[in-house]
Amino acid sequence: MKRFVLTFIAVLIGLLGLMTFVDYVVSSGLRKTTIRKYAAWNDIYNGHIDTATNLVILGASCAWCEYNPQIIDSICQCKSYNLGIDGHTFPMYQTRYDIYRKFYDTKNIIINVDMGTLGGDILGYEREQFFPYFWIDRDLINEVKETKSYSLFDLNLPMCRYWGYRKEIETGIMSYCGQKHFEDDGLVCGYRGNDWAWSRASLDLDTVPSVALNDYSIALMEAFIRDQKRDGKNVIIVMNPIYHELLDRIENLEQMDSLYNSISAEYDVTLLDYRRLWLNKDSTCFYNPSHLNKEGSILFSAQVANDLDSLGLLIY
Amino acid sequence: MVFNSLEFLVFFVVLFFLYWIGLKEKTKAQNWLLLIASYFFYGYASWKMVPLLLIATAVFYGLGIWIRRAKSEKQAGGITTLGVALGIGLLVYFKYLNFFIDEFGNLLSHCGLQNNIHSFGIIMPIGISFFTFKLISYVVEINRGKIEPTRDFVAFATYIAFFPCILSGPIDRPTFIGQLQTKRVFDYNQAVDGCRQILWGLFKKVVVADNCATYVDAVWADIPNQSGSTLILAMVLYLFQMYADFSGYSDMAIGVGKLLGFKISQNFNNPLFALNIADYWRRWHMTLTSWLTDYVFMPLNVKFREMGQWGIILAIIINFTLIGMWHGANWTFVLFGLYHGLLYIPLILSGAFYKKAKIKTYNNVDLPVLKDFGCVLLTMVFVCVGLILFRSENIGQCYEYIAGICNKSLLSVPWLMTRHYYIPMIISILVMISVDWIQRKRDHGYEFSNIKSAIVRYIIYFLTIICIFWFSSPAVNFIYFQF
Repeated sequence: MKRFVLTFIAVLIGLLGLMTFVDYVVSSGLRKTTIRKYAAWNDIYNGHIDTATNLVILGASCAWCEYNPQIIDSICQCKSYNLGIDGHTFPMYQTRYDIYRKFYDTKNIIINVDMGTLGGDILGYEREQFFPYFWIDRDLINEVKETKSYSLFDLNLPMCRYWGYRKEIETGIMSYCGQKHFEDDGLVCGYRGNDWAWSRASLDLDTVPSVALNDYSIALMEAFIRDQKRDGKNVIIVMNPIYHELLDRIENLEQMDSLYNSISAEYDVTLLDYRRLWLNKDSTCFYNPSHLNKEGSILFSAQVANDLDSLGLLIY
Repeated sequence: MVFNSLEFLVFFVVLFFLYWIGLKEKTKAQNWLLLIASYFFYGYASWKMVPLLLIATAVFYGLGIWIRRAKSEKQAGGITTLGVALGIGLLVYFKYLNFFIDEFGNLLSHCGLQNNIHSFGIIMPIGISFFTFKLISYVVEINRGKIEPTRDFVAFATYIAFFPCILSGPIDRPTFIGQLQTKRVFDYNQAVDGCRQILWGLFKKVVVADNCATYVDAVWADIPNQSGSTLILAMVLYLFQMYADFSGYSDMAIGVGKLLGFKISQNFNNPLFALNIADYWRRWHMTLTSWLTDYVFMPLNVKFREMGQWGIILAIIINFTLIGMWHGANWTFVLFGLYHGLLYIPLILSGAFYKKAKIKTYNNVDLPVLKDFGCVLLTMVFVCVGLILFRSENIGQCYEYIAGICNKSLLSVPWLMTRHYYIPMIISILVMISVDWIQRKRDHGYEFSNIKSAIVRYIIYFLTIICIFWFSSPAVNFIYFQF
């Protein structure tokens, strides 16, 4: 029995050592990529964001694929960074912002609000995007561990969290060994325009689209705006373009308008509504009814930047 | 709590140390520990069904004693029949009642009679197909005089609920109770062998079965849009998935048993190398087929002996129809069993049924001779076709699948997913078959008594563990949990 236990412990220690090494390689490798789900986090942790950044854009997919920082910078003569995080709602926008603020600062914050912004917490979606940061920033992991269902084993044992994520393991190893390009990469300053063909599939469904309005997210956003204003930050709420056919069908659009108008009035924040921007009737600017494609994002970014500049909405 | 989870690892490590160190050589206390652990394990999966398991165990414990106290053989027979009826009744109620109600309602509708007949929301207790068979065999063996009823309720309850086997077998016979009543002494070699068998089972489940499942599930989710060649490929991969999944689970269960000092019955004996369908069923899910052989086929065979070969055929067909039905309440399972039963007819009529098939190899290279290789391939073709019935949700889907195969797209290149996916899958299947072939005369693929070098063994272990991690996919339940 003693021999068995000692052998088992020796094997376990060897295994833990091996797994720790593999975890280091995979996580380090993933932290070098510009794959969409890791790009902004990597820029934050690797110090790739210009410390002179004075404008950040918060939001979900409508943010990261529609706000081109290079265009905004050239028109507004500022330094901007796109902190859009795919598929999430306001609580995660705030998490990303909080982590950004651990290392950097900003004077201006654009919050891009779309149909899903004020929905409830998105559970489990792309939970692997946090894997590479487990050992370097426990604050981030503590913030997301509930919604991403990380178990005690995930949190404390090497490689456990990567179980079932073969693609992540292979990507991490290849990146560590020097491979530069991967599928779904190519974000620059948190932005990538999507050159995808128009699809109206979601318009042909029987479901009635609606704006998500979750009390917790609403309260969180109001508290966030209040705190940022108190800290002297300039907050601007922007509503991105929505294809006209979808916009006409949204059942609680008035509720959305009323909410944001009241937030704007109460906290004295600028509200820019581009939902009916001239390009919202042109399907060649969209890849689906709620997202602009690359061409559309260039036009939209220019429009926003021009408005920010001409209206003097940014503080420097 | 599945074997390939960290929760189980923690559970088992704690149990292992308590069992061998805390309760060293205290057989009764060890049995209590196993009983509590088994009920915890079962309750973790399905706590609402724990009372059912306990009550069923208590009832059959009592029936066993009652049979021995019976005043006559007739009375003993009557009590045994009661026990068998109770066991079958449990299965019928939990597994088949909804099916019968639905079919009755459908029949009335087809006859033009409007009805509001709806099935009840009966939840099938997990593992019921396995533990009811253990309960039934207990009372039958006592009645046959093969075993004495045990007075040790803890040992009996542990046998029924024994956690490595309760969810998906193997279905051990009541002689296992004897192992529970014997002092267990820690055997280093047995424990190491158990660890190796668990590792091999884990490899088959995680690397082979779960990855085949990704492809197979994707194809089955969209049958009408698949080419014939894709459907054939999915059919073949499903065979490997089924084998790797179920035999992997059995290996892990047996390995866990070895770590606790028990010898659990072997459930698979390289069925992928079967020479004919009879040989296949002597190698596949052996504890189920031997159970049904002893309690259904042999009695029927005796009953129909005056019908000669046709009596055997009838007994086989009934036996296999029951095997099909055991798997679930669906006409597809009935047809699956019937199909396999019918495949026996040529073997019985030709006399091959009575011969124990043995695969021949060439003298100078350890590979099967061409003729036997052909027989194995043909057998697997028949098995694969049967698996279409097994996998289908209904007869319509089965027909759709077979119709999809039988068209000119059969000659097109099958959909293969990405190279990044299918190359490792093919390699893992080849590794599994190769290891099974090389180790075919041993208990399991990782029985390494022939590898003397410790360095080589440890390299194999670590490479296996790396493969398990690397090729892990999001957790897929064991297929046989649903039965």
